[in-house]
Amino acid sequence: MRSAPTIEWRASSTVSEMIRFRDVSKYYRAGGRIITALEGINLSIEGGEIIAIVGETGSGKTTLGRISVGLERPSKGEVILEETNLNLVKDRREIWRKAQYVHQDPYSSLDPYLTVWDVLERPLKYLMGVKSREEQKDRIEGVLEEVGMGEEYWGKRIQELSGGERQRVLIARAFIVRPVYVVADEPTTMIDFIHRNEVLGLLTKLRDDFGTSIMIITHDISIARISNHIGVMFAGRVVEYGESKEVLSNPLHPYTQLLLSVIPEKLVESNPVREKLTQRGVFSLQGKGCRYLSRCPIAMKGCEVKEPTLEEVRPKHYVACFAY
Amino acid sequence: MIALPLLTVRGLKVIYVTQTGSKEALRDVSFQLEEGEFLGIMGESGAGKSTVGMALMRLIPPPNVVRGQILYRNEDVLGMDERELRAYRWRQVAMIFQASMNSLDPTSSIGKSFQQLLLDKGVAQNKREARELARKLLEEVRLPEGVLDMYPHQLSGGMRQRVGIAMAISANPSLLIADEPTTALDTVTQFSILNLIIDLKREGRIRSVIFISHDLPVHAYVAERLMVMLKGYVVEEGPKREVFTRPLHPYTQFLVESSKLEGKGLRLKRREGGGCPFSDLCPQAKEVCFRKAPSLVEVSAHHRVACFIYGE
Repeated sequence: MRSAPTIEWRASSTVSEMIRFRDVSKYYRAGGRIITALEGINLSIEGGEIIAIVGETGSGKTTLGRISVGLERPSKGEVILEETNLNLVKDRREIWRKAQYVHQDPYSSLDPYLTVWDVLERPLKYLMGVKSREEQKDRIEGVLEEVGMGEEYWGKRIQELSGGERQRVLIARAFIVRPVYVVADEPTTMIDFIHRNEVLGLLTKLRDDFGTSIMIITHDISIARISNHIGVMFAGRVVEYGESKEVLSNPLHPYTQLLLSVIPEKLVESNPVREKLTQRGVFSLQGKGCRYLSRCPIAMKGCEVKEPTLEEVRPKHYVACFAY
Repeated sequence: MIALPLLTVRGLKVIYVTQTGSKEALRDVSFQLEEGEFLGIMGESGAGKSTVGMALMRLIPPPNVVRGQILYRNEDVLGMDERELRAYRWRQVAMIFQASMNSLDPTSSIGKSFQQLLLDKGVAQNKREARELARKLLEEVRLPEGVLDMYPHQLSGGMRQRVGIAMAISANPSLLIADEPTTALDTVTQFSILNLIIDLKREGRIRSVIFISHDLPVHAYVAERLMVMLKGYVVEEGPKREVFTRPLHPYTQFLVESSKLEGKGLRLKRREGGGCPFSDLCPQAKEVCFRKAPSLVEVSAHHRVACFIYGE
């Protein structure tokens, strides 16, 4: 029996909430010290939406993504995917049948000697138990068509592909299991400008075609324009969250404002950011006070005493800052 | 008297030769750098921007091929012998790299590394002088004296890059070439390093800068003049503000448009190319574009573009 054509598959769009983080924290032990990667994350991702998690190196955004697909376990709190508490899943392959992770580096995360076919066949065989040659062919053909790669690619080895093509293979590998949720970690960082919009367009199309929820992890806030929601992370916490349009046009947290001020169109005109960019010290991950304090241009009395929590200050627009 | 340009590059061509074949990294690069200028070289991976820096430093050894002309204050850089190169490299033209923050000796304190460099190159005569000079250099890059007794692993990425800059400027070079010096750093640290370079230039501590980066925001922030490269060619060159607000080349237009928050997210269709380096993707390509590469023509004062849209 032949399987249904790929195009008819849709993620269960009846679920309005795809994934929920409940008070998720992650600590790492390093040389006798405890490093806080994530602290008290509460966040939900809707079915069929793209959420952009924006932040710099060390903000915890990759840890958040990895925890959400069961690649790591939280130290505290829990992640609920559809109705499943990931903490309680014993065999992680169960998670990976539903949730997939697209790694950042398309050069190091694919074996250069494998063919495109091999790469896509493996998750089908070992994760989904699809043994029939016929069905394998259908699914591989279908997913490659989705990412815009024709029959001529089937037998090509990974080493023959460009960065943009490898990125598409990575995305195809994630979508071939027909996941309900996919994390794309810096999907445009390693590829040329020319192909960035292509990859973003592809992710949007896959979301539209299949209703998959997608988390895009990025340090480049301009990419967030294709998302439905934005979560801005700093030092292990979400400091701002809201609908993308709203956050991009009314950034509230000084860190979000900084990220939005370092885009070319603003920088060419004047240098409004110079004073915002002075680094006053090392931010504290533990202890009291707001973790943005050492960099904050609008710090007030009291910021050093207590850490602000995420509050709704405009309709559905949340920020963790005492200025509001 | 007409001031002599600091640097004149004419028809620079670089071919990397390996056992498996050769690759043309630079096909035809010509530009001038005036004394006191801040030139940004913009391009994505494979554009050849780093190769320009390496060629200027004479860091591309045979069997690789370097052709064309590089004049530094009328001296022929490609013709220099070892002795002339020693007087030119680092003393006249110094370079910092993205990795220069990782190139410090992990087993030597920063003070020791400075001492070795300054004594080896004869900038300081004895250890006491070297330490005194190192302290002054650290102050210039806004680092406390205590850093001298620290080891590279104790410094943050931003601090290591500051040390790299201090070392690069220790012989008072006329030109600093910076190749992606802030790429591995986070936004705030990145801009604090850019501020440092801007400040050093304003103070006259660095006179001229060539800044190589793939990052548009960085160029928008630091450069005065911008040169856009693609596949070994210079495709556009002009004052930064002009290039960003009125880009002429379809490639530059694409880059600038893509960097906008409200951007249209243009997508380009790839086809068989040839001639112009952008012909395989250019939405405005004409028949002639596939036959030959256009050369740079001046469209308005100081704004040059290599594109047949603006005449053949």
